[in-house]
Amino acid sequence: MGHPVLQVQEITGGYMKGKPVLHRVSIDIQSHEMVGLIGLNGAGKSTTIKHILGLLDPFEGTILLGGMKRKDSPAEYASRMSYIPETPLFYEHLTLWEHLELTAMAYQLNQSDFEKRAKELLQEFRMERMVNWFPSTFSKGMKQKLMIINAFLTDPALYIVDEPFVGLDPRGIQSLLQMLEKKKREGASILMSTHILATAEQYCDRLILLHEGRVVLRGTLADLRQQTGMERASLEDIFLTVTEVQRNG
Amino acid sequence: MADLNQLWKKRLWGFWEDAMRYLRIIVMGYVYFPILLLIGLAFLYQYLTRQLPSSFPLGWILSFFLAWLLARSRPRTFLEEADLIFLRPVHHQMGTYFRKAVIYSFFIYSIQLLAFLALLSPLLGIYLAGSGQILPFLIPLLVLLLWNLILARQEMRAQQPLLLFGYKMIRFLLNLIVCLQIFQVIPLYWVVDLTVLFIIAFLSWRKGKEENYNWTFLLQVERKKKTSFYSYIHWFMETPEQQTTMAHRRNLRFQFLRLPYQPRSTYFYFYLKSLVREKEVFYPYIRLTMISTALMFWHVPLYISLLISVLALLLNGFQLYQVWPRLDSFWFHLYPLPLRSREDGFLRTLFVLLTIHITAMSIVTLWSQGFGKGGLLWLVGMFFLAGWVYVGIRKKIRIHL
Repeated sequence: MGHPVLQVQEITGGYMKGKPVLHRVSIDIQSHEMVGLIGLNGAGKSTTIKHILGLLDPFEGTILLGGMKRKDSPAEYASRMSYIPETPLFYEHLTLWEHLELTAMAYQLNQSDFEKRAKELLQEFRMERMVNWFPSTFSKGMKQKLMIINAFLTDPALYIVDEPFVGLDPRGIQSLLQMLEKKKREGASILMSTHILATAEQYCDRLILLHEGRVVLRGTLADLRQQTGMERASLEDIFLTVTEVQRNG
Repeated sequence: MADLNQLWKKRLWGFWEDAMRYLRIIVMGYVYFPILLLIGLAFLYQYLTRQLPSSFPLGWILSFFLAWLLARSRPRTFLEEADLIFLRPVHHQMGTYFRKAVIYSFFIYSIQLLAFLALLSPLLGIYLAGSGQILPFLIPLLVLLLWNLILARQEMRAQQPLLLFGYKMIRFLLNLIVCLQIFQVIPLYWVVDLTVLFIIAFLSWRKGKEENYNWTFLLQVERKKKTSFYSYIHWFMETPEQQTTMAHRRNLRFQFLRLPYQPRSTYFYFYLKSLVREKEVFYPYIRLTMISTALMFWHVPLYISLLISVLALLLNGFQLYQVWPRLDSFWFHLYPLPLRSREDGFLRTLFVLLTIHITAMSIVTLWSQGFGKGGLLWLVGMFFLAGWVYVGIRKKIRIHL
């Protein structure tokens, strides 16, 4: 384990000051670590991610990325992370290649490095044939692949991955997971929000279970089993039990 | 079908309720600047039409223009994407719905036609001078409009795109023949005209009874009509209904759109490609550039040339600038770039496109009216552009950051 790359410290936040969605949420992620963010729909996963990305400002608490607050230097803060959104968000006016070129320019990549990396990723995700296509003509899975390739073009300290498997074919899922593992080995941190609990159980070093804007469980799978007293239970069993118990008060 | 009649009424009112909101803002004068520009251009246009030589082929030009305008008239149906699922199964009960669409479209296009004739009035004056009456022009054009709409309704049953294009071309040619007669370019045979038009309309109606509508095409036409309406509004203000259509511009990819890889020009890269590819923005830009450049062939006093150039630049810049709030993206908030660089990229794009515009106008002036006049036009134009884009527009777009 290295130093903490991301430190979310006791944040309370949301969309309206009087109605916070998150309540004193804390997350820390080390280098060489993949953390799974799990929870029911509306638990606050996407809101947490929006705060980390800097799209929302917390009402209370602080977020440090590589020891730096966003307001200290927004551009430098942004350069330290890469994001794969749940819903593909693309530019209608640009082709696949132009999306990659634009991202590479925005992140100040060297042109030859960009071209080499882009070609490798296009090959890995079987998208070479579509480089001159507009994403609006893509299938859902292809759009998601564009988001993934875009995110892996840069080499940031933190990858934020929100529901990345939606629409991906099995080979695409495998490529994505291998890529995340590789980045982790190289020292990156990964925060992955997902509903695919079997994958989270298999790939994540630690898990954070959010429920109604609060962290209700955190740690390795062994820690979660210990905290719930459910020895040998799968992550899915723990998840279902905890969220059911919480619902019943 | 009472429900389908209600549906027509509901959709028609729904559209006009929304449209009136925008039209009210325009008429009330909150967006007076583009209106003033248009009035300015109208005066210049009147001035220029007075300079036309007697050999100018006005009848041909007016006939081509009106024939094209009539041929592209298709009924507005107010159909929506979901109708493909919900209305298609009951299409055989939609005769009244489509008839209403034709009647409504005739009414609306008649107003448009009158507006066009009013716009052409300085030119029409040459024809009116003899008789002094507009009706001999107007009535045949209205008959032709109704004929086009009736046929266009039946054409929307054709399944092949080539066939649709073919029908439109046939209508265009027939329109042209009739218009040439109206403008006395060729002799008038109104009995023959009416007989031919009637026979074609009858054959088309009889053939149409046997076929179903091409719903994909119906929806496509409706989308285009809606987009076209909001494109006019777009000249005055930004609307959320504005739909955009993309052109790949492969032919430009290796020339104009092949921008060098320069990280400091990230936003310029984005905006230039986006503006050139967006038909609703780029086509008006090209049209305005070409028309204003063509106007420079006229030998007019220098102050008139300068006035035309500045007005044309303002109009073009204004319509380009309107895309600023729309061409925003979630990703811009995540890029490790200062927010100000987005503003710089956009202004640079405007400056480049408008520089091309003023340069084209200056080259024509230089060629037709001499080096001194052309050079001066370019210098004044560039000076004006630098000030307007980097000070005037910068001030406006800062509000949106």
